[in-house]
Amino acid sequence: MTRKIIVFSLLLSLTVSLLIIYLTPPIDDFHPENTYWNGLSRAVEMLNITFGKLEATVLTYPGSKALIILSPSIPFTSSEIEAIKNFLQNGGLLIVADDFGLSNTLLEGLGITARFNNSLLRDPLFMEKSSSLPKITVKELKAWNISTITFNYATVIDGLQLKPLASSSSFSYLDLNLNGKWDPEEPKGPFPVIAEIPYGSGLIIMLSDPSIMINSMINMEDNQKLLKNIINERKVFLDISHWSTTPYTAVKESLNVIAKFSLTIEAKYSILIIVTAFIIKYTPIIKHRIIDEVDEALRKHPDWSREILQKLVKERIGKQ
Amino acid sequence: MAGIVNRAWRSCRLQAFKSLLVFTVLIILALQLVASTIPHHVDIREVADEIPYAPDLLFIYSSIIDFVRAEDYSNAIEKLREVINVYVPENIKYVFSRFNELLNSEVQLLNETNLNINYAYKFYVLGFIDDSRRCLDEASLTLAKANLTHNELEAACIQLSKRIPLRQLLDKLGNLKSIINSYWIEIRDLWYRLTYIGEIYETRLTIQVDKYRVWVGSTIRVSGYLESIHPLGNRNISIYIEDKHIATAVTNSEGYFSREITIPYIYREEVKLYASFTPLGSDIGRFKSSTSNIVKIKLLYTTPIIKAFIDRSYVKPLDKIYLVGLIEPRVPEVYVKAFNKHSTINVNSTGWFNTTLTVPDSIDEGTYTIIVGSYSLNTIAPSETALKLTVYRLPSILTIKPPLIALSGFKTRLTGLALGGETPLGEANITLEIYGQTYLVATDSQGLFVIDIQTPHTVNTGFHIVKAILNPKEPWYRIAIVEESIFTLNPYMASAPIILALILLKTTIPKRRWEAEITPSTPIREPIKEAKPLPVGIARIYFEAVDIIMRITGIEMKPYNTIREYLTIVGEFLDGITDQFRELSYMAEAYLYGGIEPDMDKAMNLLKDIKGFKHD
Repeated sequence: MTRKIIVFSLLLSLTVSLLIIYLTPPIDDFHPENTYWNGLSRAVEMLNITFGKLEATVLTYPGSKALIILSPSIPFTSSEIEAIKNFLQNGGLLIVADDFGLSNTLLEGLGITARFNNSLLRDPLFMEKSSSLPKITVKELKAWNISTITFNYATVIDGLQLKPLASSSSFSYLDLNLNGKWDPEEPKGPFPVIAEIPYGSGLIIMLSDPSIMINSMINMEDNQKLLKNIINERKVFLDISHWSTTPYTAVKESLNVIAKFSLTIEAKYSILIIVTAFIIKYTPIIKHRIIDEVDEALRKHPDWSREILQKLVKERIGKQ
Repeated sequence: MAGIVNRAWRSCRLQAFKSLLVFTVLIILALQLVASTIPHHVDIREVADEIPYAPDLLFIYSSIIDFVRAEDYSNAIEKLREVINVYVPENIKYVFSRFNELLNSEVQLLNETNLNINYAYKFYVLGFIDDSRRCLDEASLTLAKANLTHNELEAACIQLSKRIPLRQLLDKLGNLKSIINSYWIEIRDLWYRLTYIGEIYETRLTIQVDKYRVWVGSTIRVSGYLESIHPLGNRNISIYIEDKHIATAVTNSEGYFSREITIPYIYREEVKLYASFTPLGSDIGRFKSSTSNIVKIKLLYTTPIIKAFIDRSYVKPLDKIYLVGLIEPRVPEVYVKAFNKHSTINVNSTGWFNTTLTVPDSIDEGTYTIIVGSYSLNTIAPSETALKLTVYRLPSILTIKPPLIALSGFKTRLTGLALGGETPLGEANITLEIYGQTYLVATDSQGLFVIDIQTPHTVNTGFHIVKAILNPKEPWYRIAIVEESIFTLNPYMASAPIILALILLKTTIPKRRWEAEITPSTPIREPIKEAKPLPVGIARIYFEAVDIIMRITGIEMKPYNTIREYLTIVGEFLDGITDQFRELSYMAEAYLYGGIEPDMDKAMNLLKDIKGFKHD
């Protein structure tokens, strides 16, 4: 009995889990459909962002487009780098926002010397609750009416061939050993955190924290205003093909594929046939037939055994 | 007994529910596990409050006090604005804000005091004694307020140091007290001077120039006279043009001065010239300062006329534009600003210049401006002229021929043609996107291209969009994008419902058909079915007759019906063939139970009669 309960519960819970996963939004960091604190659903709505795989068609008409690369965890291929290079040379805007991801492979491919440092930026004074959430006072972007932006686990930008648009405070430092406090060997600020690099007819904006776009951060200080000013009326495309997904989202995506597949002609007809066959097979006519036949026989021969008659009918049906 | 069963069932259900809950939570949690060293971010609501790092905070306060000591109040106030942005947890926010407010107030009061002392001194120097006294009164008042604020500030500092370890801050605040004391000394000193000052005399300064229209870079003579109750000799006079100090002159013993000044290279129609006298040394407290009358001087200079032409105003990328021009009067060189580039061109002896510009290949279509200009050179002012030109691209045409139908798992060939007007576009890049795949090919010299598309096994049956982008090698052609659809058939998936239907027909449906045969709820009115194999002899003939009777009457012969029973049941419904079926039934009964051989010819005739019977 206990084993049966466990197996039944396991199967049922698997079904319930899959249903919950299918019905609830994704939970991956930066997922454009993630409505929780770490998703991009608000940014997608506010900035009218379209998202998808990085393909040649999304990079056409570069003069009116902005491409956002957000903390990639899968390196860029040479053909992708070539396509982005072409996009930039023809007037495109590339926004590379990264902290601990693999954007440097893209920058290297583009032949840019600037790099994301990939070390954690802390500010023990100008912060939001914790030194790992530094506040950046922007002096260089007065024309955009931006004064402060708040980061969440950011890094800094290294390199010479760039124009810094915002820098961390002189009290900020790079927490190389992640012990949460400044040590004498750790470099102190100010560090560039937003920079622009002209590239061909286009422009690259480097943002040392992709998290300013997440739901819990986009409305902090002037974060939203900064993004709107950078984008400046361009159509925005967010690349989602360079993130590795969590098992949860992988399952969710698989369920979406299954759900999508179930709407195809083949699947619809298969389901229809299965359901019809199921109904035909399990409609309880047989039982009635047995009862009818046995009752009729008993009316004529009341002395016969009902049980034997029922058994005989069942056996006969079984053979057929 | 029933109670025990119910309790057991309830217990089982509870156990099942608990297991369900535990497994569900475990499955979802297991799927959410992701290994990471540094997170991209944290949920801000769950972040614990940190107090600011005390040494850094002390550093900021020390720098504010140091700026005040150096009388650099603008930097001190800037730092104060910064310190307001330092984060402190909610429980110490009040103490922190109070301290900052008091510090800000004290710095502002000290700044006002300092400004008032400075103004008081300046007014004293210029001889405006009443204004000087008024400023000194203000300075005394603000300094008294600063002194009171300082006492409150020290108390707030003690409170703050209890929450954030800033022990040295109180010592640092002592420096502000020293500044207050030094300002007291300055105020007292100036009060003393103002108290014992004698009468201060007005001064008058007049100037004139020898020329009112001059070339830029040339000289003019400025003369003037300074007097008070008597002419003031050996005094410094400052001369200004457009508020910029140009020269200093010294009055002679009769109060006159005269000197030549050079007009700067300002390319403006008119400039204002004036002079001023400021008392120095022993004149302070005796004479007031004065400013002269303003003299307007018309400036002369030459503005060159630039005439520039381009050989065409509609151009394509990589086109060459020939630019020619004439500048009068001649200057050695002119500059050209075009397509975000700046170049310099030499001008020949007759004033003509020319150059060739190339339209960049990556430039967008639209209207652009070419600026041709010259730099200033002594009496020649700078000049500019603008030329407009339009950049355009030729249209390109891309046509693709997708197949009518594509089968998944197989290769499909797609051909296309790239044209620029009627010219084939060779070596043009074609990017093709279909089934989530991207293909890159180049056109041949005829503008043709062929792409073999590998249709994936997993693609669904239906129309799929194929998108092609033409990026010509020649930059003067536009990019072209076309979309077509291909009907794709997936034989594996399409066959699935058919196979499924066949399997189910084989396994499920026959049972239902059999069932219909043995359950006559309604009279059978079906057409005669093909005869199933029957026993030989009289039995075969009998059952064939029974089949016919069943169809006529709708009454089935049940397996347990004897021949006679069935005859009794159907007898009254047979009308014209009752006798025939009765006789045949008896013959069959005699054969089956008695082993009596029947007359087969007769039996056949009886069956024939039954078959020939037509029921109404």
